[in-house]
Amino acid sequence: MSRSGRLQDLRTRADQVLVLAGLTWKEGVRRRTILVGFLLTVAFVALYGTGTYYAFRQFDIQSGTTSMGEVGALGMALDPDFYRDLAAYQMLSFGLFVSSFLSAMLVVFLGAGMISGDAENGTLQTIVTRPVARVQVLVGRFLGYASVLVVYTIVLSGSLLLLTRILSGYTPPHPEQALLLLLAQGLIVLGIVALATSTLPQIATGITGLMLFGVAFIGGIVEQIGTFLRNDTAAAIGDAVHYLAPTDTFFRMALGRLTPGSMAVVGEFLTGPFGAPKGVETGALLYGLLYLAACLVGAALLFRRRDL
Amino acid sequence: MEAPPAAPAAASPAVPAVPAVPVAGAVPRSTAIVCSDLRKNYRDTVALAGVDLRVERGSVFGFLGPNGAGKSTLVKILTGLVHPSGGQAEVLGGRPGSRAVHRRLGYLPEQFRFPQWLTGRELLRLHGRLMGVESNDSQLLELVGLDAAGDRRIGEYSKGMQQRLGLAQALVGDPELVFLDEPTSALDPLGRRHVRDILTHLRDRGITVFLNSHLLTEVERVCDRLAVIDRGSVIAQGATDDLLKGPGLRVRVGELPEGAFDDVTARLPSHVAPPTYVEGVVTIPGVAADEVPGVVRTLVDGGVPVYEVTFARQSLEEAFVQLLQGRHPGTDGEARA
Repeated sequence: MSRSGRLQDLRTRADQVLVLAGLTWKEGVRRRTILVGFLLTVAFVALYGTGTYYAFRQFDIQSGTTSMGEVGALGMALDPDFYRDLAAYQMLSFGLFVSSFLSAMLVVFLGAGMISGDAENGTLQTIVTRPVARVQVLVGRFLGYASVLVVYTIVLSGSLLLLTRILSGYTPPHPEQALLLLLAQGLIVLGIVALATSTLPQIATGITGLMLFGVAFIGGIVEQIGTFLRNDTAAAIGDAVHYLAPTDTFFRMALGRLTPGSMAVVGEFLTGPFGAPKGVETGALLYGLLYLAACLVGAALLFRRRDL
Repeated sequence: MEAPPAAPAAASPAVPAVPAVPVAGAVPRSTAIVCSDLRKNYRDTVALAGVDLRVERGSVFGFLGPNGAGKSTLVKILTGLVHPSGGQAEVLGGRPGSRAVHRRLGYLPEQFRFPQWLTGRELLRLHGRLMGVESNDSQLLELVGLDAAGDRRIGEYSKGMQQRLGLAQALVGDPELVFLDEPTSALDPLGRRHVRDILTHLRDRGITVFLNSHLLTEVERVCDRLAVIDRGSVIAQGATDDLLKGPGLRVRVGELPEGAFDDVTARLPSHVAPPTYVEGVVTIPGVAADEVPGVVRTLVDGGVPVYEVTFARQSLEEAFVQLLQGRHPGTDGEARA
């Protein structure tokens, strides 16, 4: 093939991928899923904002009084800023846990049909018999859902970060890095879903996505408890689970980017149902990226071999 | 999107626009599909047990068989959807499923579903873009009689309309070879006639059509060549005219007088095969059209009470049942569930 021919071919292939990716958005608009999702998201953010608003107004009114409880009063007396930051961080970790959970659910529910759903109902058969490589179809579908995920996560988690900052006055050290880590977490979930949907039926794919997300979360808690109680076995189990699905690791690294340096002392006490903050480790980052890449390569290989 | 300049030349078939069936004079009648010993196993079941098949270019090829005989599996292998377990297949001189082959193919699956939230026109444009050609959506919508509904969402289409849209979809990008898997199953008689007309139109343009169907009357009317598959093996293939015995005379008669049958048999032209008598019907094969009045006169003169005379070749249904009867005892040729 000549050079211009190869370039032309590349352009055609890219165009095909973009058309397929664009279908996800078109579907979202036409079936009003984007509209409904947006409205519910606005409701969630409004609720979170209301809660945060009243929490911090109460905070201002009652600062220094004992009605906040003795620990609160003590904290306030010792260092009002520190106490405010702690409360803001707790609000944020709760809100982001819900938002990252919602992002993951979105990805699981939408992405489960990516290959198997469309293969089961007969949508895919007319697409893959066009001059498109199956890997292009996979990439196109993946990019479609990934772009939805990116927009959703930025809007939702971004709103929470912004609201908390405005209402509490607390400025986390690295909100943009936290957002990137949350995006990576969602993409890893999507990678798992892409791998599963390439070979498993739609329902099984949904279950796999949910279970792995849940297992990683529980693994995170086991590890926290293990660390907290200085129990090496529990910590090791939790750590091993993170290799199975590194989603929780990324969530906790995101939390770590939102914890002010002054909180390092109480880091262990931040252990809670929403995950303990964790420093960003190059190894964990690298593992996550490799994990995602492996999911996609595996998905492409399985999809190529699949009888439709 | 702009159509790549190179694509239309490659995609449009090298067929003269003259509406004539035999393109043989201009283009050598080459082969569109060759399969040899093609096999497919799904776990314990054998879907294809060594299929040998040859489809010439420009023919409308009917592929028949009872349900579950392996018709769809073969089409899916030839379109690259399913990987064969063994044997060879070649489509338009290339490997099934390759991009070069897909660029020249159209396919309407048996079970298909289009995104319900797209309009018919948008679907055709989508497929045009995937083919890398400028979409001729208006033309295609008109061809299948959906020009008025083209801008409505597919979700609002009836089943028959969706099937016609599916047919239009299969014709996007001027394919040289079109696979149609049960294209008329959801259509009413009028819709079927319409599809038949479209198939004739395709044949006249020299497009090869591979038609999976169990609607035998339809296949008989449009297909010039046939193959019959049963339990994963091709049990007959050839020109439609060769596969159907005919022409012959079927005469419904009253009670035959003593000796009349033998008497008449002796007086029939010598080249005519011996007649048979079954349940009030005398069948006389091998009678030419201009011999019919003479044969009827012989019957009447011989004292045979004639009630009804039919001159026709064997129907495909009769041939089909005959072919399968021996293989599926006691089932009239229908595959057992």
